Amino acid sequence: MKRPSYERVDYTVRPAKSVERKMLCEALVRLGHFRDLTQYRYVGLGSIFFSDFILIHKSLGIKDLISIEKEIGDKKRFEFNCPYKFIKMLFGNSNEVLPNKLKWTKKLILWLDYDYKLDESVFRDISIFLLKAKSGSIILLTIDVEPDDPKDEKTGKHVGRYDKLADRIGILKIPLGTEEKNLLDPAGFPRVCFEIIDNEINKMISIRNVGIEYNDRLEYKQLFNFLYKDGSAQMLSVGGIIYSQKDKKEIQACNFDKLKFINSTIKPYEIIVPKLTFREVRYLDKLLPLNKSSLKRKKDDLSFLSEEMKKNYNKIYRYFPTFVEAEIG
Amino acid sequence: MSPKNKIDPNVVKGSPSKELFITMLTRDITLIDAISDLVDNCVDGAIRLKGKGRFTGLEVDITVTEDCFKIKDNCGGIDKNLAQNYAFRFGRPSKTPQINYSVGQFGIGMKRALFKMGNNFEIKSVSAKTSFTIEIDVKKWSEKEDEWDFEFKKPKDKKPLLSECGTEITVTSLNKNVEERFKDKLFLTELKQKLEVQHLINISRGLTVKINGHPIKAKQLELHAGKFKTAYWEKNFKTYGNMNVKIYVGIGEYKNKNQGDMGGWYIFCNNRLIKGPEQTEITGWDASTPVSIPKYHIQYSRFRGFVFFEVKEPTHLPWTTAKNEIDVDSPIFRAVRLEMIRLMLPVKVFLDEVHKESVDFANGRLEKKYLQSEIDSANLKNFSDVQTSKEFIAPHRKHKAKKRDEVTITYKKTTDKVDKIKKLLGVSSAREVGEQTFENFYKREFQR
Repeated sequence: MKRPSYERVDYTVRPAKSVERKMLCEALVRLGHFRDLTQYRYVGLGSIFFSDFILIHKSLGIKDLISIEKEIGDKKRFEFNCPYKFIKMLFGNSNEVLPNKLKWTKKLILWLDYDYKLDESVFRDISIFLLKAKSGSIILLTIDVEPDDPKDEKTGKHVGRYDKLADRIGILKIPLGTEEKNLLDPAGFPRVCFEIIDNEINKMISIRNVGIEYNDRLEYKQLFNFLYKDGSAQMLSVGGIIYSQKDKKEIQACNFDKLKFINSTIKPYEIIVPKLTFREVRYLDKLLPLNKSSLKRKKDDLSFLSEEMKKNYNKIYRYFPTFVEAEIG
Repeated sequence: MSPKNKIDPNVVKGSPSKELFITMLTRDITLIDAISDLVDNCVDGAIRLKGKGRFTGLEVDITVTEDCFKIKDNCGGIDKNLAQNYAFRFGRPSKTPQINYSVGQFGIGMKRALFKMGNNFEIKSVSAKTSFTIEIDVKKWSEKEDEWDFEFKKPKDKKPLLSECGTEITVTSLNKNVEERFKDKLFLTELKQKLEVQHLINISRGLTVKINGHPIKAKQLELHAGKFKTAYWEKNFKTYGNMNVKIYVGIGEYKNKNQGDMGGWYIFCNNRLIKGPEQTEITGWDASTPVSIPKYHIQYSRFRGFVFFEVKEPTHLPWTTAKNEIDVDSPIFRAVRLEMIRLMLPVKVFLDEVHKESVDFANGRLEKKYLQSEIDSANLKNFSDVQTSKEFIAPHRKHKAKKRDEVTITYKKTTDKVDKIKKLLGVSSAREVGEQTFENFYKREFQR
């Protein structure tokens, strides 16, 4: 059995994930124009680090926080590490907790940060959210989109990536035109996964709307499509907001689109965190914002940094993680 | 004719209402079946052009968007005379010119499919000598109760309607529920999956079928060759227009449910798949005569049975008008079904053995999966290229299940006793306690 991801990776030092978290928070600040955020409930998949919970609470003031944790065996460790007593822990996998244990009485911010690849269980979570969530709720799904090994793990036989994907999600979920070569390509595979999730969300929305009067009909607006890589696996985060026609104007007034990372297209917003020293960061900060001419300037003191690195820094500097090794006594 | 407002007291009205065709008969088919039916029309064009030859160069292009459906082919087009007198009639007049081995039969398919989809259609067709355009607004047409005919549209200029001989049908103002289905992108995957099997023979004969520009591949009807012999049965039914029926039964690739389980029967009428993979009593699963066959189960996922009904005059074929069901009351199907059940048995017996073998292997009763390795080493070949015999023949287990020279012993003892022995032997696990006490006993009794 694979060990849980929190035992494999230290979540606090995953720079791209950290950037993503901050971006999500910034988007949620805008959601505050629609409703007071304290009316919202945040639901996440736990980890012993609770990084998302801490950030969401500190930056948005949301106190209704629920952590879904599947590693029941480690219950004591989770309870020990839980940073606030108002975080409610619901043990079980999301497929059990979402339909059975969670109450859908409030507007939700649901971040399903899976540490595995797209499989049938993801569809179950998507469908429950879209059947139950209230207008104004947000969903974000994060999955591993590293192309598959075409071999079967157990037998070593060649099965092909198409069949592997079909085995996990069912052949009827694979978009028309998908071929083996799309699934091998590190850019192609996330695109296929994106389409699969997007199709599922739109299908569920139209099912939810059957027989509903116009004002209550729901619409889905995609806000997020992030692609990043902290460790060995490429991750894709897709999501957005659902709202009724009644709430549409207020949601539009949130102006999510003003944020540069808000993305309603199929082309992902790539988060690349350049590895820079503090000295470099401070220097670059003084030059901000970096434009075409300042990027091309060869004669500055940082000519040893590639244009690519500077560009990437410019793109995310407001969310740039600052990790310090320190003992807090 | 008497004026309309004069009612003859002795006449009872028996004429059909247009509603029957527009909103009722359309309920008997699914949207995908409706599209399949339109593809059948293209295939009939291909048959008319090439007979039993290859369809290379012929193409069917299907375009599905949220507000429009289009199907276009280069399969020869509909002759204006045929269109004028037969093709647009409801039901097939008995004098309709016949295409041998065709799949269009009932004279309902195209109209029903179009009514199912939307309100406005445009049909353009160019054949070797003639060409025409028909535009139909269903709403307007249905308002005139007794007027059933359609009109050709007068050509505005002399430009050719289409670049080559063929037909193009466009449906717009889609019905609400059709629009909903077309919005769902998964519908396209479903359509592809369905057409891939329904028209696999036609596609493998060289016909190109594209959905939104993506050519679909023919699902292969493959069977394991090697030491396996596929069962083959053939019969000619003289009184049914010389219908020829062929059955192949063998084993193919294993796919689980998610990968698209392909186990079961495939029933073809004039090379068009009607049903398949069929896994119910219709094709003999759960049958008790002439032999007993269990219900379908994933353990039979390798089972493949192909039945081909082929006849010049398609009225004899055992299918329903939707072409998605077998006419189970058809005497010919009832007769063939018994042969199918009979031929299933040896395959069922073999697959049961394969299953038992894998269970035995998992429990440690077998050292090797002999039958499984026979399957793995047998090539997959197209059904028409495999060796056949009267019955399915599979290799037997050459070696008897070899007993291993080791067995597992398990037993339970109370913890305190086991802990005592652990201490004494200086070991930490119960397993070691078991092994060492056994060794000690054996030494004392046999090796002293």
